[in-house]
Amino acid sequence: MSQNNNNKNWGTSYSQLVWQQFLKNKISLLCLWFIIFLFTIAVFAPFIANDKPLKIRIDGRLYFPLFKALTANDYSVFLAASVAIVLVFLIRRNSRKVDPFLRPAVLWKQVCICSVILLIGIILLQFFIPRRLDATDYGSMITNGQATDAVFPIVPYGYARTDIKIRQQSPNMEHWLGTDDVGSDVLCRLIHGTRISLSVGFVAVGISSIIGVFVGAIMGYFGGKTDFIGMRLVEIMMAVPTFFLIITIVAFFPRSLFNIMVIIGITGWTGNARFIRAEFFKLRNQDFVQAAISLGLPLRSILFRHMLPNGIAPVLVSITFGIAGAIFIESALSFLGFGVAPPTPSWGQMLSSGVSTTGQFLWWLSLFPGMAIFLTVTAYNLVGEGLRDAIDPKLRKAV
Amino acid sequence: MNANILLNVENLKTWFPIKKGLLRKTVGHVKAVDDISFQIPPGSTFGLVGESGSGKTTAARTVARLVPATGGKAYFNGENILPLKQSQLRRIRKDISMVFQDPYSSLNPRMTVGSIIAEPLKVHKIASGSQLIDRIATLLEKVGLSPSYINRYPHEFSGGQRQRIGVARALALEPKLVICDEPVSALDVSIQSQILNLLKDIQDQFNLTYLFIAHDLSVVEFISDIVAVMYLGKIVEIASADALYENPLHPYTKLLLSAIPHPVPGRKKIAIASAEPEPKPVAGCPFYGRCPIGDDFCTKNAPSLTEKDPGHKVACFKVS
Repeated sequence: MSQNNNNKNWGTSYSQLVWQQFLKNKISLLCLWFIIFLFTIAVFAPFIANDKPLKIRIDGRLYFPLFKALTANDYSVFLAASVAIVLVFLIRRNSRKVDPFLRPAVLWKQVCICSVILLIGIILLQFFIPRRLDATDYGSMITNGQATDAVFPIVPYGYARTDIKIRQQSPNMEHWLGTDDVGSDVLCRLIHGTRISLSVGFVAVGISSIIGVFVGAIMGYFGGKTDFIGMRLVEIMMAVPTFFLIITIVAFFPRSLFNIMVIIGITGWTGNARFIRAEFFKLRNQDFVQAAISLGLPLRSILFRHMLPNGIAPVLVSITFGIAGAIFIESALSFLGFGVAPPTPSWGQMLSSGVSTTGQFLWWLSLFPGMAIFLTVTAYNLVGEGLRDAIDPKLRKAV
Repeated sequence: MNANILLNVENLKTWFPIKKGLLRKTVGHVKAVDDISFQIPPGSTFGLVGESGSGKTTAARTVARLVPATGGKAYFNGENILPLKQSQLRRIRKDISMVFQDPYSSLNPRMTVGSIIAEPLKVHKIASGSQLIDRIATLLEKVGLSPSYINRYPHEFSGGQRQRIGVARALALEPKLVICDEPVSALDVSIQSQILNLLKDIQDQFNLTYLFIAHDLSVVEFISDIVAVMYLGKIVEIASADALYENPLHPYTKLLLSAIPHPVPGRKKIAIASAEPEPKPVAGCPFYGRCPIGDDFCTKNAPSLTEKDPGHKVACFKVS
């Protein structure tokens, strides 16, 4: 069969319908682009804001200090970003080139290969990229005349660089968004803080939704005693104020980014579990699930191939709201001083430095990180809202 | 065990507990299926009729092991399938398949027609690779659909076409027994006849046995060899289709048959004493509340299924 002939016989899948519906919502689409923009900033943060020059000529020899100073984490981020882009392209290609009938299998294979590459890549990078400490002050080398031909990033400051001489400057030509208590550039810290905030949102919600979906699926499918015990567990979790619990746990564990992500993740799964449980209760008695059972399909297939794709919609929406919430919680934790330890920048931590030790209110230290948090959280919420509208049951009835 | 019986159901009971209170104590039961027995010979069609809530669907789902049975036995090919564990059930699942009532909810909206039919084939290791696609194409052709539909999604089809897909899925595993749970009652009348003819054709082709559930008596008359009439979880009359339609013995069967719309004018309908089935459990005949001929004796004793003519069993004291 020729390609064209094939395409004519292809149906439109539900996800394609939802996507088409989502594209109609211009505000959500704009917010999605904003989030993509944020991700781009987060990925390329060391190239945008760094005190190492991209290239520099010292004593006639050409150096590339910025590339040398990139850590294993930076390379891991680049790898993850490229894998994500490749996956997006593969999904687009699949919808044009692969039979819908074969698509799930092909996609599954692609996702598996990509994640294996990502995992192996990250492990290898952690082993093979050494930690280099480059404390050379290239800026002063230029002024001394030791070096020439330097090309600096747009924001030529490092997020960990402190300089007491230039502390607490309000926004000016050199420091576009001013400097903080210890003389670090606010714009630079803001750009590097994007990484922290976005990754907290993603990883924390990833953990919480995986736990939530799994627990909810088991509760909803089996019902009865399993459901009873599970729901009591969920209720106990929900009865404890989450933020209080997080602060308590954080007090016991070291202040690392990873710990904060995991803690937010394992305290936030209850909502998702309840959503999935409710959906599975509803789906359990649907004829197509009964048909799947009566055909003797394995439980794994019934739960995750037949039921989950039909019940995931509310969770998808709650994921976007959850990311916004996680960013918020991380900011709040950092604001209170329980977040990531300095000098690693985080938006909440920067916000808290708005009131300096001397009691002055430095507006630029609060305004810009605050705006960043506000815009990001709003964008995520609007995307979630757009997604919810796209998955609206009215549409489902129409199909 | 009689080798000439494919499915032998003995004293099947399916009760749903009514739970109340904090500790969810069982305070009573809804006796959806209460002590029914029937036999289905291979290659025949067994029709199960009754009004809504009479337990016919529950009976079918119990036999298909979708609903746990409370008591009784169901011998399929001489093996009692009710106590089988999940792991042992696989084998049986392959031989008993189901066609559902609502074609709009019986197909997974997120899967293509091809993958809906392919999955059982893969799971039971019947076909794989290019063989798989050939098989799906043949199945689709058998049920009167174009093989090119393999890449379409269920929402792109009409109700009749969807039901054909449902039939194709049921046939995929080459089952011995197909349980048709009101397969035509959600369809237009013109589509109904198409699906019924399709079911009859494939029955001849594959030598299938049907357990056919319907509330439409004319549909059952068309397709069945043996018909059982259910009322409030009990079978009140079993007979061959011809005998039942020509000579209904139980007052409920008579009532049902008189309710069939008929092109002959002037035919009188049997008056119904009470439209609501008696909700409370009564000691006597469950049909007493609506029975035009019941008397005091019927309120105290429950009739059992007794053979009045050869092959014609009725549960009524008033039938001689």
